[in-house]
Amino acid sequence: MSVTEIIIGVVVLVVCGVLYSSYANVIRNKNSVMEALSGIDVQLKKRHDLVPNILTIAKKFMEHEKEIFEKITELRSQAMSSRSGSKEKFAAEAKLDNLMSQFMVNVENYPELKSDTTMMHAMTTYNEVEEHIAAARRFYNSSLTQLKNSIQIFPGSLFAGLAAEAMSLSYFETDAASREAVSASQYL
Amino acid sequence: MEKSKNDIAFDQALKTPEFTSFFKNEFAPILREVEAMRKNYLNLYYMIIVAAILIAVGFYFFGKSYEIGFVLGMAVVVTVVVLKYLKIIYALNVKKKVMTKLLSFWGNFTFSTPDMLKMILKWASELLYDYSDLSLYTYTQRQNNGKKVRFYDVDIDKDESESCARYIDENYRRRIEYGKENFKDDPDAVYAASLLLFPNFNRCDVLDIFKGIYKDLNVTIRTVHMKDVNYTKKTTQIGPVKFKGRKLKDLFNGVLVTSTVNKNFNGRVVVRKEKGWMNKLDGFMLPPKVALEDPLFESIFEVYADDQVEARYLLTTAFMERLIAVANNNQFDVICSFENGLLNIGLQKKDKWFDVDLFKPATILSNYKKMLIDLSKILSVIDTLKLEQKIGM
Repeated sequence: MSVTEIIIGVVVLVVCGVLYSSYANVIRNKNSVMEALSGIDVQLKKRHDLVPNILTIAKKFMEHEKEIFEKITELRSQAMSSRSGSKEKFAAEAKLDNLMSQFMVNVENYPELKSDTTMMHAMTTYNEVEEHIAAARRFYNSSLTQLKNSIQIFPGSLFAGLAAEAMSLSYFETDAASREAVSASQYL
Repeated sequence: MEKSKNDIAFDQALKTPEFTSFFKNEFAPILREVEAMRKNYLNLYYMIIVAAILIAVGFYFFGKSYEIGFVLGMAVVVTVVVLKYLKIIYALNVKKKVMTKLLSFWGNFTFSTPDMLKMILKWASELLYDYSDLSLYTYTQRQNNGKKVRFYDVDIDKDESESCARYIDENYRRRIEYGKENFKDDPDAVYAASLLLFPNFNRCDVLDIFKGIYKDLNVTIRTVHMKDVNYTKKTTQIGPVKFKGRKLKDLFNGVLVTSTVNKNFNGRVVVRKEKGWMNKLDGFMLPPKVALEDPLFESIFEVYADDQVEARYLLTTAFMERLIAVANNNQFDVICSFENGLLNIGLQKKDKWFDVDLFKPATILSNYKKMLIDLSKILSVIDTLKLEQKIGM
């Protein structure tokens, strides 16, 4: 083999290596996004399972708050039935989030409920689940960013088609109401 | 005398009139006993030096087969090693007396040191292990017409390479087994021997141990020295004595703070200093890497975790900012890990933690104030990180 042939062989090997590495990177990142999405679903499922328990405990004390109970139940069903990773799902979960926050504020008006041991435990668990949901969303956004970076930068762009399904997903974004500054006068 | 409350910051408590009165009236008198102890240790120190000189001279004049180089070399090596450990033992005994009294003011913290006899036996066994394959041969020029005669009839070169290979092969196994082998009787040291923070360690000394409750958290503070000892084929010769090549690398020499946290978690998360590709050298022992959103945090630290979601649950954006603040404000080198429901924080600085000098008079109060300032700095790390918070962190 001549020197030229060896050089060409090495160059071809290097190019193949780079292409394979990009391909593997795109697949890895796509799988990471899907994993992150299912991670959010796992945490949301925990929340969906917890919500009826909290409502059952609270109903004994909050007999006159039927409206909020019904809204929460309806939103929970809506959120559970939406497609994972879709904008509708994120919107439904965000509304459920807001309503549960309002509900927790209402709980403050019932000292007996607030000091009930079962309720306290349920609320602590709910807060932990909320923190896990926030962490899962951060992981999801981070994975989606990595995937988009790997696809938009050459030579990863050659394999964009392999991750089309994942690329159709959107970042988790908070709703407009949550972006506004909180006014303490609403609560005082 | 009123004791300071648990929620008053430690450094503020040091400035209260009650503490000043306690320091002068109750603490200062015990320093006379400490000074007497120091003088005894100092006398022993000088006696060891004199004895080493006399033994060396004796060997040279009466042990005719030994060269002066070998005799002096051995005398210096043995003396330096013995004196080093004598200073450590003195420091531990002083701190045991002094810190126990000082911490009684708060009643929240206790101080202890490891069992002295166990420590001495451990150091002796480590030294023997390092040098147990001494290849001794003596020069007996007069008796053998100038030819070198081996002290015992062994093929040194072959034995050296075989025993070196044996040591190098065993190193990896010993890294994993060291924790179980050497710390099984010492549960305190098990936490210090965290393979996550220092995967390559195979030697560990745990000296000062503070235990107590601070802001409703169970806190343990240990002074830890972790090393990585590797054996090489290169040998060192002092006179006619050949020692096995030994490379000692200091992995960590500082304080390890272990605290309970108000969060439930199962996996492991490690936060180490950003060293780029250098972290990959022991990466095989670490969990997968986690990329976080804070670019400043990412430039200072690297995070590894079993679970990506749990890592972000523990390392919230607020916690990341606070950890950066600890690293920047206190000029510490900071690393941490979450493991077994606990947070382990490693802090290193240029000078020694809780330092006691054999050659400085024990009656100088500023020496002990410095120790309290060291403790105050460590507890301020817990304040900065807000570990007592029950939500967020």
